[in-house]
Amino acid sequence: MGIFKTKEERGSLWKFGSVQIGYAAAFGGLGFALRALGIGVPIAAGVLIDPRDVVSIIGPGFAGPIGAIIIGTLCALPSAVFCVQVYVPLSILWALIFHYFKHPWYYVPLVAGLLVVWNWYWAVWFQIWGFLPEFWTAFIVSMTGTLLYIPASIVLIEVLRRYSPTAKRMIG
Amino acid sequence: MALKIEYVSGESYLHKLDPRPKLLLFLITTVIVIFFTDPIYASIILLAWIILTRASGISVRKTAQILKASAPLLVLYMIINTLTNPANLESAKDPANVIFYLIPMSRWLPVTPQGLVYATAILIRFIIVVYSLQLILFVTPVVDIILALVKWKAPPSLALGTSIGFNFIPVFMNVARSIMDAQLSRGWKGLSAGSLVEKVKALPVFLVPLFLQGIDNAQKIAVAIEARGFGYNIAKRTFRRDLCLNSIDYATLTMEGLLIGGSAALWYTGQGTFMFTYSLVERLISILTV
Amino acid sequence: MYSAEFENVTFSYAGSKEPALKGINLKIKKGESLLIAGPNAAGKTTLCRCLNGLVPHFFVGDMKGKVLVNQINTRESGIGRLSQITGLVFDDPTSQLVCSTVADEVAFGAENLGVLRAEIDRKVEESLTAVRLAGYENRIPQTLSGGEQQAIAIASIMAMNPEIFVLDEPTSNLDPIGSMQVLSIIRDIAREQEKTLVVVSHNIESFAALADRIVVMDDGKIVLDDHPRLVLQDVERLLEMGLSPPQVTELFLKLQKKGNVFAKLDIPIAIEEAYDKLRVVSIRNSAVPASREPHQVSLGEQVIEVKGVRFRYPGSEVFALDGIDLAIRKNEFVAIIGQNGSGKSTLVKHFNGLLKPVEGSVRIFGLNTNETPIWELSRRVGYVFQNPDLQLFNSTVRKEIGFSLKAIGFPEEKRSEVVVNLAEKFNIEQYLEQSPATLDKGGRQRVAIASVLALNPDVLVIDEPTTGQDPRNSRQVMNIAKGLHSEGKTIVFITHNMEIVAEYAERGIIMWQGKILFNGPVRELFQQSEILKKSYLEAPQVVRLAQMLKDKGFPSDILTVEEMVQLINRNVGE
Repeated sequence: MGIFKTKEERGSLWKFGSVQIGYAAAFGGLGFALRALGIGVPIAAGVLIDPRDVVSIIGPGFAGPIGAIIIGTLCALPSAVFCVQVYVPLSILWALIFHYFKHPWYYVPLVAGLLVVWNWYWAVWFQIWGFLPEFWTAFIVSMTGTLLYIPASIVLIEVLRRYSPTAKRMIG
Repeated sequence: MALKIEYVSGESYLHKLDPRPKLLLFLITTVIVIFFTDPIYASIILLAWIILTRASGISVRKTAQILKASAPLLVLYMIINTLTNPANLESAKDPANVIFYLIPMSRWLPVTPQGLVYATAILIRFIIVVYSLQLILFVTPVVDIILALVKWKAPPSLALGTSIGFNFIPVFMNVARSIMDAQLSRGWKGLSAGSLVEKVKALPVFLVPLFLQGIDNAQKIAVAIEARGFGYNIAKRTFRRDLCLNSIDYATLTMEGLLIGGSAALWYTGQGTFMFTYSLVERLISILTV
Repeated sequence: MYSAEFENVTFSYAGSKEPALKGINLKIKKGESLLIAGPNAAGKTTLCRCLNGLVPHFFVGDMKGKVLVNQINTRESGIGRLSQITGLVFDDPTSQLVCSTVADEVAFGAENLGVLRAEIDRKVEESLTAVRLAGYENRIPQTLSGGEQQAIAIASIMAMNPEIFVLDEPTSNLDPIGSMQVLSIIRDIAREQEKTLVVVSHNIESFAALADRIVVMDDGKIVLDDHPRLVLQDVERLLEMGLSPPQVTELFLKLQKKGNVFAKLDIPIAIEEAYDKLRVVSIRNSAVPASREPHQVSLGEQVIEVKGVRFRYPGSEVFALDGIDLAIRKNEFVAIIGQNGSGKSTLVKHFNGLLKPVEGSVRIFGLNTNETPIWELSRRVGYVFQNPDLQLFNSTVRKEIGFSLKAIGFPEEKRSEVVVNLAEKFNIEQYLEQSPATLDKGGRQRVAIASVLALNPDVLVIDEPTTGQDPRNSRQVMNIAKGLHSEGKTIVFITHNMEIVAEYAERGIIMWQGKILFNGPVRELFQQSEILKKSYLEAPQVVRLAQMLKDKGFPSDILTVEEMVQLINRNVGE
C-alpha cells in the first residue's frame, strides 16, 4: 500500500478528452450554481461557508489539470471580489494531488496544502486587495475558514468514495 | 453578491462591438486606474464608464447593483485602506498632518488627509473594476467572450468546456433546488438549523446527492459530445460564428491605443498621483482656515 | 444492403461480471424502421451504443464478435468517424444539450465534423425546418420544453446527415404534448426511404404503427424479431416480460382465448383495426363490469384542504396556480394529470409546505402550512420524488431508511425496528448493509419510498412514478401505493400515463395552466372529451375504442381491458 498511485492507476495527466470536458463543465457549472444560489452554512452575519470551495477541490480530481482551470474559473467568477487567480492554481494543485497520491495518503498533502498553501495564497491576495496589510494577520484570519473546510472536505470525499463507484475509481 | 452574468440585448455602440475591443477596454482602464492613484483621475474614468452605460441603454442602477450588495464590505475596505495605505502611513509620521485618531483619546490609528485622498482613489478604483466588468458582461454574450478567447489562441477544448460549464449552471441550480426540496420533505431541517457543528454535519445531506448528480451529468455530457463527433478532429474544427473586426472595431482599437499612449505620457511626467488632488485639498483647507 | 450487422456480439462493461449483450445476431436493412422493446437492463441501450462506436471505444469492456455499420467494423473505426453515419439521441433531453443558443446546438455536430461555415448555416436552417422549429435559432436550449429540447437534439443529428437515426427512449421523459411533437418528427424520418431508423421505446402502442419490424430483447438476448403484427401476437410473453403491448391487441387476445367468434380474426395492432372488427358487436347489457369497488365519495375527514390558492414563483409574472380550491379526504386514491407546466408539481408541493401560497390557504390535517415548519408537515405528508438519486446519500440502506427518523430525533433503539420492518415490506432487507448505489433503479426507488415512509405519514404524494420508467417498475411502485392505500393511507400521484390512471386511481384531477379543469371520479374523467382535448390529453386506447363504438351500445365509462373483455363476453354469449 504505497503512497503514490502506480503508473497504471494514474492514466495520462494531460489528457483532455470528452470525459474531462464533461467533468470540468459539470463541476464548474455546479460550483457557480452553488454560489449563485447563496447556499452555504452561515457562521456569522454575512459570512458563509461555501460548498463551492469543496467543488474546486474534488472536481479537479476528475477533470485533470486542464479541466481544473475551467473549474477554478467558474467557481471564482460569481464573487464580487475576483478570486480567479486564487482558485485556478489551487484547483490545478488538487488535480495533481489526486493524480499522484493514493487514498488515504492524499489527505496528508491535502491538509498540509490547505493549511499552508491555501492560506498563504489568500493572505497574499488579502494584502494585494488591501484588506489586511499584515501578512500574518491575513494568514491567521484565513486559517479560521480553512479549519472548517478541512473536516468538511474530508468527510465529503470519504462519503462520496463510499457511495459512488465512479468516485471510488478516481479517488482510489 | 455576485456578478450577474447575463446578456441584456440592445443595439448600442457597445453591443455592436466585437468582444475583443470590449475586453481590451476593460483591461486597459483597469491597468490605468492601478497606476493612477488620484481620485479625480479615477473619477473621470468612472464617469466615462457611466456615460457608456447610459449610451448602451442599460440602467446605471442595475449595473451598480453588485456594489450596493457589497456595501458593508466596501465600507470596511475603505476604513482599512485609509489606515493602511502608504500615503497615510508616510504622512502620519509627522503628527502635524494627522486630522484625527480612529480610537479616540489615544495616539493609535491616525488618519491623515493624504491618506484619505489616497484611499478614496483606491475605493474608486475598486468600483471601476467591478462596475466596468459588470457592464461588459451585460453587453457581451458569454459565447462571444469564449469565441474571443479562441481567436486569441485558446485551445478549443478549453473554450468548449467553459461554455458548456456556463450552460449547465441553470441545470445545476434546478438540481440543487430539487435536492433541497427532496431532503426537506424527509424531515431534514436544512442547512441553517442548529449549532455550527450541526450545520456542518448537515452539509453532506445536501452536497452528496448534488455531487453525484454532477458526476452523472458529467458522464452524460461526455457521451453527448462524443456521439456528435467531438473527437473526430478537434484541431480542424469549424465554427458557425466567426468574429471579424469591422470599422467600428478598428476605430475603438485606435481610441484605446491613444488612451494607452496618453496615459503613459501623463504617468511619465509624474502626473496622476494623489498629490494632484491633495494639493487642491490643501489649498481648500488653507482657504477655509485662513 | 445492410446499414448495420451484428455478428454474434457479446459485450460486458468493464468491471461487470454479467454480459450486457449475449450473442446478438441482428441485421438491419437500409431504410428500415425498427422498434426495439424490452424490460430494463435488457441491453437495449448497449445495443444502441454499439451502433456508433460508443461501445467499445468510450464504454470500454470485453467485446466479442463484430459490429458492422455500413460495412465498417466499429472496432476499427473511431467514434468521430462513425458519428457521421449513426446519429444517437438520448432519453434525457436536458443533459444532451451543450450550447447556448439553438442554432449553435444544431450546428454543434456539423462543426465537429469540420463542415464549412456556409454549409453549416444551410444545414441548420434545413434541420430546424424539418423538426418544425424554424425561427428558434436564438432561443436558449435550457429554457425550452422537453419536447422542444428533444426536437432540437434530433435536428442536431440531422445536421450531421447520418444514414442511421438511433433514438434511445425519445419520449419516455416527455409530457403528452412533447411526445406528440417528437412522434410526428420520428414518423417523418421513418417514411424516408433513405434513412434507417432504430427506436428504443416502452411505448409500443405509438411506435408499432411506424415500425417495419419489432425486436424484443430480454437479459441481453434477442427473444423476438419479426414483423410487428407477428411479434404482438405473443401478448402473453410480452406481458410476462413486463412490457405494455397496445391495449387493443391485449383485448383481442383475451377475447380469443374464450374460443368465440373472435378466434378466427386477425389481431389488430391499431385502434382503427379494432374498431372495424368490433363494429359487428352490439351491446345490449351495457352495465360496466367494474374492475374495482365503486368509488365511494369518501365521507372521511378532510386531510388536505386547499382554499382559494394562488401562487407564483418569485421573479415570475405568471401565476403557476391561479385559484385552486380542492379537498382531499382520508383514504382517497387521487391522480393529478396535465401537461408539464400546468401546475401539478407546484400544487403538490404545497401539500407538505415546500411552497406556501401567495394568496389563500392550505391546511394539512387542520394545520396551516404557513405556520407549520416543513419537517413537522413531513410527518403527515410523505413526498416521493421522481428521481430517487436526489435523496440517497448514505453508505448503507439501513442508514438511508432511518435518516428521517434520525433527523427528527427518534431514539436509536426504536429506529432499528422500524427500519427492518420497512425493509422487509419492500423486499430489500437483504440489502440493508449495502450501499444504495449497488441497487438497480427499481431498488433505489424502493429505498427512497421506504425512507419516506419511515415517518409513517398518512398521506403519500408520489411525483411521476411512471415517467422514464419501464412498465414493470411503474407497476411495482403503483402496486406498493395500492397496498398502502388498502392499509388506510391517502395516495395522491402525478402521472402522464393514462392507463395507470385508469387502472389505479379512484379520483382524477385535470390541470391546465394553473387551474383545475376537472375534479371527480375517474370513470367520469375520461368522458370529458372537451376538457381532455383542450389540455392535449388522450384517454387510454381501450377507453377511446369504447367511445368510438358508442352507437353500438358500448358504455363510455369503461376503464380497463379486463372490463372490456367481460363486457363483450357477457354480450356475445357462450
